Amino acid sequence: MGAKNTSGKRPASAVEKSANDTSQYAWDITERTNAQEAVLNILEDLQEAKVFLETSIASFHNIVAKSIDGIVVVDKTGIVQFTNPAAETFLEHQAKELAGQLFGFPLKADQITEIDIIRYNKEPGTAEMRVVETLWNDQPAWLALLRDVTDRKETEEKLKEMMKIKSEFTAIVSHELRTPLTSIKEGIALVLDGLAGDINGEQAELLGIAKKNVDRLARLINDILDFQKLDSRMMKFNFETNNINEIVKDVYKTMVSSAKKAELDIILELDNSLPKCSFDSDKITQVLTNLVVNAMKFTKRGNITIKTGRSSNSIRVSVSDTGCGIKKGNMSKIFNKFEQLDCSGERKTGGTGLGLAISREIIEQHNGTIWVESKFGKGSIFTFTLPVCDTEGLLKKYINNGIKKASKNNTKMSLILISFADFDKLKQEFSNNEINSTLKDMEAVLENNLHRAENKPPRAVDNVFKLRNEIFVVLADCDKENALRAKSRLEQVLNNYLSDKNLADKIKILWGCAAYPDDAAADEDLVRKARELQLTIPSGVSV
Amino acid sequence: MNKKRILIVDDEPDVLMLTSLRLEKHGYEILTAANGRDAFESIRNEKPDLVLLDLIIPITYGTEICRRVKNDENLRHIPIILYTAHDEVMTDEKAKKAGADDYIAKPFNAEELLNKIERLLTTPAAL
Repeated sequence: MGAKNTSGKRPASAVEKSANDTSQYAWDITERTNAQEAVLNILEDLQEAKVFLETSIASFHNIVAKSIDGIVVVDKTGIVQFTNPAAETFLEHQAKELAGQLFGFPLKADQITEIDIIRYNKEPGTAEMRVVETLWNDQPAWLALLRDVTDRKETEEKLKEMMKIKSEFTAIVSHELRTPLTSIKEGIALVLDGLAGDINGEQAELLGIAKKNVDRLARLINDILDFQKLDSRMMKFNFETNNINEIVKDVYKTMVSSAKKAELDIILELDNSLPKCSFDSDKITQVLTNLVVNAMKFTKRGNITIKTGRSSNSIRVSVSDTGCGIKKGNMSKIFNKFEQLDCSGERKTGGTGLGLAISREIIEQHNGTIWVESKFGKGSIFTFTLPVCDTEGLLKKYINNGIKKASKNNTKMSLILISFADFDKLKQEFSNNEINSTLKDMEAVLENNLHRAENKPPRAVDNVFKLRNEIFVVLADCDKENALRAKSRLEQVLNNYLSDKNLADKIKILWGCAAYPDDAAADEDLVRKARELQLTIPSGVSV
Repeated sequence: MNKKRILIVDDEPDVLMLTSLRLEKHGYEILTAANGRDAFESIRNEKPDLVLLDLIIPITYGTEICRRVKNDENLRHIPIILYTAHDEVMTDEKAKKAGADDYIAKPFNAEELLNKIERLLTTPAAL
């Protein structure tokens, strides 16, 4: 016919002529035909879209209808707008009964609530309900999803029940085994101690054997129960920050006399610059004692050396002996339960065989490692590690947390830095230990005085850190003015401490105070600024 | 000099007899009870100088007896040592909670028990 009319506008003068009109004009109906075609296209598109939409809706509807989790939409006034078939089953009502009614369960976004439901098998059960915010017909509404967790809860209950039975069993066993043992032990002891009349040498010897074995039985029961507790993670540890060298010295004191009797020397090689770490003193003492007892058992002559040291992130303790060592083939078994060896490599009796197994459990539950190096005929070295308290990392974390909170809430945080003036001169006059001990005292004094107001406890967000030879005081949510006030109060407290110890003329303290965001925006810069300002704030000046 | 009087409470007759013998030979005068009710009555009426108290006993548990004694104005000065074959850790907590003065595990070392008794009898009762 001709090219499509693209101009769009119909000439104002266009008029149609009827079919009988045979005048000479043939009107150009290209435009009209094109328009009609366009409309037909649009109608076709609309039809296609309608089909697509209906199929889509049907598909999604299918998903919602077939879901075994219940789906409920509730408007913000608490009225049910939609329920799927699963929800109908759970809530024991049909959709049309539920629509327009109050939902009745508490609705809080992102919370999980447990509700009672009727399961598919018509039995009562429990469902977990998760609620999220959504839109329904463009209005804010709640979407509640209900999941049947009845089976899971049953399993959880059974597990709790079994744990309870296990711990009751442990308690009963310990009681029932130890009670008759008490009478046996005391009965023998009374006769051996001569309290039932004099006894002759042979009687003493026989009773001595009985006593030794009663004690061994008692230890065995203790070890088994210990191991049972450790194994099921029921052992409670009492973690406290401590110096491992103290533990070593205590064990030495306990073992030195029996070592002397066995003609063995215990040598201590302790690293005195070790940082503190967090551990259960009693349990670690138990481990170290076990290692020393083993060393003594397997060493006929020579020394037992206990060494402490540091390696990157951990503290290392090793017990080495000049004993008979361990055969290569037995090395992998040595930490196993009930594994006992003697110097000929044969199975030995006399111990419980649980000492190293228990020690390994204790060390591993401290997040440490324990291992042995040995040469058969030469000796063994048992080593264990304990993770160190990372003060520097902790300090950085606290400062950064303070900065984050301050920037979020548009407030400030402050850092006070306390150092010794003329530190090199100080090191000449005092030993490392003396300086360290003074710093620890100062840290304690500052911690005790960190409260903001009279009779108010210190805030958990403020903290004192002793790092190397300085002390950092982190004051969260505190502007410079208040920090300087705190600083002058703490200064008074510290000066009192120094004069009480007669150190006031020997030790001069430098104070620096920097605030975020005024002085710096990052943790390192804050520390650096505080250090710079140490030289500008004269001691004793209060704000 | 007056002998110190010790009340031993245990439902196991053998343990009761042997412990009594041990303490008697050491010079103490011994009273005994085999259940919680008799124990409390004995404490109230006889006012012993020290009580050696087993935890698992009939009628009323040792921890409850201990609590009652420590809550009683006239009786709280009497030192109590809890002794039991039970699990150590649990007993330690229970002992502290019940207000006992000390604790020893069975099977005990006679010397250790005698030391603890001696210490509690010579130190004036804590206020």
